[in-house]
Amino acid sequence: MKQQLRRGSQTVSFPKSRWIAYATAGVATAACGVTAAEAQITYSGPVNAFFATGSGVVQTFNLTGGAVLRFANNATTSCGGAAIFRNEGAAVSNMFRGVASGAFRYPENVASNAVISAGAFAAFNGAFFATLAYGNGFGGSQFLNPGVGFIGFSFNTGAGTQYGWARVNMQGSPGNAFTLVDYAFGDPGVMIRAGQTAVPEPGSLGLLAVGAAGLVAWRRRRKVAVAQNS
Amino acid sequence: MSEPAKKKRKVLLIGWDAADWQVITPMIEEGLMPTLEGLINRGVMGNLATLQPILSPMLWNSVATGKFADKHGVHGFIEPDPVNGGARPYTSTSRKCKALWNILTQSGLRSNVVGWWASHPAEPINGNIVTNAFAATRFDPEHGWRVPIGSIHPMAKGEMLASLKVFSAELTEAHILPFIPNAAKIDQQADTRLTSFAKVLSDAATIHSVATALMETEEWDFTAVYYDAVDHFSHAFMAYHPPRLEWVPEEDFEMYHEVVRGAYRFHDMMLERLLQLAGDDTTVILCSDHGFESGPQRPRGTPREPAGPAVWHRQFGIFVIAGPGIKKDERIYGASLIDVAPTVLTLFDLPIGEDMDGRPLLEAFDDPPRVKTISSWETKSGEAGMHPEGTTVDSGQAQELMQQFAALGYIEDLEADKPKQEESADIESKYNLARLLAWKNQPLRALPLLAEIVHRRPWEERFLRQLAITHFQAGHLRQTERIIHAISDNGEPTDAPLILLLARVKIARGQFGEGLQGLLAAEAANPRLPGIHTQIGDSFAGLLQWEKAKAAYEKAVALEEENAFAWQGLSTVNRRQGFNQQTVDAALRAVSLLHRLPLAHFNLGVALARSGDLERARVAFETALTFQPGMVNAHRFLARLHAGENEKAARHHRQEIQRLLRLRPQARSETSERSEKLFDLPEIPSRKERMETLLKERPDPPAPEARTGKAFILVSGLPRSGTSLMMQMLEAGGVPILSDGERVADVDNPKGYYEWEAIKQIANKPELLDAEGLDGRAIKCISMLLPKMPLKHNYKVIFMTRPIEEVVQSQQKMVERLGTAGSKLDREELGRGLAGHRSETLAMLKNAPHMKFLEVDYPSLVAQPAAIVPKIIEFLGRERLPKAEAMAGVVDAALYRRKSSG
Repeated sequence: MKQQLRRGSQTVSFPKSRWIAYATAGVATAACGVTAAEAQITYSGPVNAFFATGSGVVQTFNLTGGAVLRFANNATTSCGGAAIFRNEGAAVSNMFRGVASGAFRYPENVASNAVISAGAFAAFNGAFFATLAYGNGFGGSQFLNPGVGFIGFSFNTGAGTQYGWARVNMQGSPGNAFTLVDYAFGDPGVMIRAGQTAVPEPGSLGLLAVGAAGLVAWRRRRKVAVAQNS
Repeated sequence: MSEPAKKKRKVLLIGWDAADWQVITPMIEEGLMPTLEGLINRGVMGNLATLQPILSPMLWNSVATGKFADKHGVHGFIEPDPVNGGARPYTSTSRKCKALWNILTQSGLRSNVVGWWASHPAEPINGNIVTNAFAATRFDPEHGWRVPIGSIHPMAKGEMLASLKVFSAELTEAHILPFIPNAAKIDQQADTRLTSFAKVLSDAATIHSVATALMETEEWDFTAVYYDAVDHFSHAFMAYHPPRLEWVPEEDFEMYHEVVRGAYRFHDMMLERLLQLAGDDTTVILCSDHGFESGPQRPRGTPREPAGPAVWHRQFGIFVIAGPGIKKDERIYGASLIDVAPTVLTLFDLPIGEDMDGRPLLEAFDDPPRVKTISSWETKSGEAGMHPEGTTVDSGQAQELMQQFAALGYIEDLEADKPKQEESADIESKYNLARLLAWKNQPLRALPLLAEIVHRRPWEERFLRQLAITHFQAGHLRQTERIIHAISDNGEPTDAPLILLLARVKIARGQFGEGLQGLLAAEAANPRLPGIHTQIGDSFAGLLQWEKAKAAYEKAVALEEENAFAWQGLSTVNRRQGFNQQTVDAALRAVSLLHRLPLAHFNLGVALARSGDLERARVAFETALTFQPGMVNAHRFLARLHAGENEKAARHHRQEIQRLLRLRPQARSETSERSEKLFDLPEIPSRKERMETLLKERPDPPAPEARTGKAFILVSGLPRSGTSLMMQMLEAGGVPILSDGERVADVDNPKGYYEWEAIKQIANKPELLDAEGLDGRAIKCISMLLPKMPLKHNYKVIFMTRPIEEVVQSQQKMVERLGTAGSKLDREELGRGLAGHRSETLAMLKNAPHMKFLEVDYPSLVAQPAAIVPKIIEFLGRERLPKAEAMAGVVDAALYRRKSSG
């Protein structure tokens, strides 16, 4: 087992910034302990945009820095409707969590609360959309059954990779009408889970890790928060 | 100044109990422990072999002293209490030798020591000690901060350090969610794991805050900080660590699978701060006392016996050292936790006691210093900051630690009477010491201890087995057989360990046929214990059955990859079969895990010599001889290697061979005499009787309702929360009251009327409630006393709550009037303390199997008594309140009185 203990010259696959973000933007340094820039999750709030079978209307939803999410339900060549999705507009990259199969793209139906970044991501095929569900089923479609599911996506507008999720409520094949319920994405370096809408009280755990100075700072901060709320 | 000031060396020693590379390595690969990764990159890392038995107080005192427990004197968790009777946690007054901080004090250096096992009460060293009893710091609603006496040196810092105590109730979801993302879904009434999680996390934060405060504000040369949280988190949550074990329910796995990893991440964050405060010119040592099973070897249950949870502990802890003069990005092999103290002394350029059992880890230094020695630090005179002769310990302060040990399963029933507690502490200490001695291969020192405890408790299976094994170690074959037969039904062993032991006896006697049969039977039982397979392998090897030996060792390695003895065995088999490369691989593997394996070094030497690498072979043989000077074959090889080149050395080894061979016939006759000797053995009850006795002693936890027939009603809450009003209501409702003013109504002092002064002594006088006729009475009981109520009764607790701000106002007047320590606190501090205390009390109520409770909000009660009374009736039962309709009227009357007097 010890042979596997890696030594320092190897690079890590998990940037430190993401670790810090994980621990609720925890900061284990005194210098930034008290006033750390608090990493955020941007939440859409309820969207509830409905996509009727075969309507063909593309709706666009803003992320940040020019990046957008697009959804549509197009008519198919066989029967029913095709629920499709893509994200685009980011300067550096637009990707989704799921697989590429030949020319087709199939987003994964991500489990609630799963860490979005902890999966396989694929790039889009030119200007084509990725397929959530196509008629009675096509290739790797994972959104054929009625019910709520999560799509994972990532984009990079130049500030670093950002991860996000979109919640869809499918009505089932072959029509595959659906509702985009809501979506959210994190700042660069923020670990976001499917369904997570906020970074909980940034810095608290990090402040505990700072020890005495952090404890005092955290108590002070909490007192201010309580005072503001009352 | 005659010479330029030499830059002083500083050392920071950090203990992470139970930290294990098997958890850490994958996390570092994922980038989840960046601070530790950085430390490893600029330093030296390796395994740290533990000692036996794997019990933290013994181990951490070996870390601090460089000595085994037979020398340092801390033999487990609890010891008999010589002052008050009963048992208490091992204290620093029981440590028989100097710890690093004493030696450093004596050498004019200044130390901070935080949280160390058995460091309580704090010794008067040059520097600061915050002991392992400090976590019991409480906020007392009546007196303010209560820091356990003796938990801090110097005591003047008490108030400042107490304010750094983190209450579990202070933690918010932001602290908890990274560990338990779905914490909000936990039904805390039914699932108490969140409560224990919060307690461990807040205790770790307390230790860390205290340590960082001392590092920031004090001059120091040496800081030692001990964190127990990895061990506690692992004991509570390792069962849910991925991959999911088949017997762990999926919903539990989903809920708690991140806790252990979260705990390691949090420690990495705390480490970052420690390193920052220490600065680059400090040498940092991070170590753990043992590892923790995290893979498929995780035990399914925990034995219900003292120290039973130790079955989760693994043989190897972690070791990292980094700092000026330390190698970079290197590995160290064969380090043991007994080596830590000598290494620290060497870093300070101080001599090592020749009576220390460890060695300085010189291989970690860029330029290994010359090691100085001194015969013993114990006899060196000078102020070492130790306790003055006759120091006693206030054992009341230790109650919290005892409760924690009991909750963790390390000690037996706290409710036992004092003689039983004392007996248990005495026996466990002796058992632990005997196991250490047997492990050190000193069976003759272990046997008297084991014989004594077997005489006292001949029904304890674990004592009998240890006795049999230790007699075998001592070469007492006949006695070993006798014990095996005595403890087996119908005289014949049926479980693998005993079958194996008997087979080894047969082989030692030269009865190879029977021995072989026994080995096959032991193997057929296919035990999941790697140690058994290693011994089976050794026995087959003794019979020259190489393939069977190899199969057994391979089974051991499959069960536990880091089994050094199995790798040593494989190196022997490969050597005997002539596979040089495999011999070298297996031998190196063995000694990288555990350096003290003479046979592995020997095997390595043989394979190297055979392949022509004579210089390295010489080093390997010499290493084998340092651990086993009487190894004739190593001398033979060395005599040949030196022949013709270094005749003097060659002659020395030839002389040694002659000398050792001359001793042999004598040794043989002694052996046969020894093997047939019989020793005293008490009558051993049958297995069935033994089991029955044990089950009677350690019964399944009784159902709360079945515990006793007696039930009391307790009215509790923070002072000034309306407890008197509730007592009045209960009395009006027809509940009999237990109070001092029972027959003498005192209309001028209705509050005094409800007090029962004696209950304040309930912790020391649990028999107070045993008197006839008290069953069913209502007692006013301040919140501090709730945890001290005897477990054998049942209680219905009406817990009064009131907004903290109102309580603070009222309290502050009181403490100012009383002029107690609390009066120095500002409002905010008082409010935080009171809120913390109240939440901890409520958490305790939620978890206490013998208590049911009803929270009653005082302002609501005053505003709408009629709405609250039905809840009280439902809680207590209508039959207890024959005049319930009168209860609401009490509130009105009280209000009326207040209005009319105001």
